[in-house]
Amino acid sequence: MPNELLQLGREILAHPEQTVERGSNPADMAALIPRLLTLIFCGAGLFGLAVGSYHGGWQLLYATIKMPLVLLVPLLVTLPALRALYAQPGRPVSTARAAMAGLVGTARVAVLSTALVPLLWLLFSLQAPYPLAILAMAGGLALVGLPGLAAIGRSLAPDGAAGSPTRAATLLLVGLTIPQTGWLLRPFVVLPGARLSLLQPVCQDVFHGLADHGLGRVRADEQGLPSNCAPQQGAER
Amino acid sequence: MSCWLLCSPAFAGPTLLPTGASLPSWLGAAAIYLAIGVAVGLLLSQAGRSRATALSALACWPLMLSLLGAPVRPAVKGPLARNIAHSFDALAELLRDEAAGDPATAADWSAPLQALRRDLERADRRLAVADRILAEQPRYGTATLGQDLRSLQHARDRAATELEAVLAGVHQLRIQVGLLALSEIRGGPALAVQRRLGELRARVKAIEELSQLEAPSAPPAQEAAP
Repeated sequence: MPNELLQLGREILAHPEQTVERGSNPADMAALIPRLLTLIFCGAGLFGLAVGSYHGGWQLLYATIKMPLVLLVPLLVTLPALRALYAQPGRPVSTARAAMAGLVGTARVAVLSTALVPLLWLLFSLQAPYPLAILAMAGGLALVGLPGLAAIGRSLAPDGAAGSPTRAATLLLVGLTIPQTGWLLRPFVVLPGARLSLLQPVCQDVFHGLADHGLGRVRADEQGLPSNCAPQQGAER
Repeated sequence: MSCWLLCSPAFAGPTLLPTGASLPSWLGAAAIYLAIGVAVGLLLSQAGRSRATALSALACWPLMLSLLGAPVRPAVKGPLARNIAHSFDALAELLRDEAAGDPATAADWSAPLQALRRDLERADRRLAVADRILAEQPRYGTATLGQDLRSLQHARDRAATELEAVLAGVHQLRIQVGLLALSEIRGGPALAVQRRLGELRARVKAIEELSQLEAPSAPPAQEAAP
């Protein structure tokens, strides 16, 4: 099994379209999905572990659990829209192909994100300030997200028929859903000493939240909660 | 009650929710998602899918709905399964190598290669069925049973020989790719692979058609009666 996973990891990095092609028939799809999910949970989990190490303690566990979900939830939300975007007259994208393309692209991001782990740990060990740590995490994810997105695009339009508007719409769609999912789940860098919780109440959206941060209405040690969402009592630090 | 437990200051250490916060509304949605995932996983398990596949439904059941109606590939493997896997993995590995093939043309040969592999695996599983029947000790003998078994054995051996010849053809294809790589003909390996794969697939189809011709259309009337 580890050898198969390593081989699959190599394949999705070098030739993701072939994996999608192989997994487009139900029998191979059933065998590939558990392996791709294993790669996603292990790769993104390791990245989450590195992110959680900024705070330490229970955040190590929380970020390890949440980070794979930050990649998987947007996939589930956006896939029907992506399928519609890449469909052409007389040539619809099959459900199986769309599912495989999404999973392979996400697994690619997860595997690539593990390469950022040593860099994050190095940065954190140098006592990087909180904003820089956040920026490094988000920037790193965006960097490894692009090859994953490219793999999804190429797999959904194997003959390269997708035009620039389709690509721009894909980027916009994924660029909106991943930050918002991250905002809901918050597998973030947390200041040492801040009180932790696994779940957060849903409040505002990522853009309002970031705007509040930018305007200084929220203190960083309130775990990124905007002022109107901050806990009313016991924000113990 | 659950909120009181989760949010209580007595809940020392790591908390599920910040103190004073109510349960988020999407927690209910997550519970519904998981419940559907369990149901889809159970359905996949009942359909004969592996435990790992069924378990995967918990995480991404919307992506697996197309598997619910799809036929399940039988777990039985034929006598040549290992050779088929080895031959095709080695050929695919070779063709992906930039020095041997042209990775840009991978889409040209990938689909026919997979199709030939599926055909061969299907034919190999039919061999396994024949082997199983031949291995059984007949409990009731009739005048023609021995003759039928000999016919089955004969057909099985001939099909196995043909399949081994196709596998040898796949191996030969690797050598051909190596030769073309040395001659540095651009696009040569992809074209040669496509042409040869087409020939090999036609050969596998011929085995199938021959088996259909040999198969009796209906059992004889006297043997069908108890």
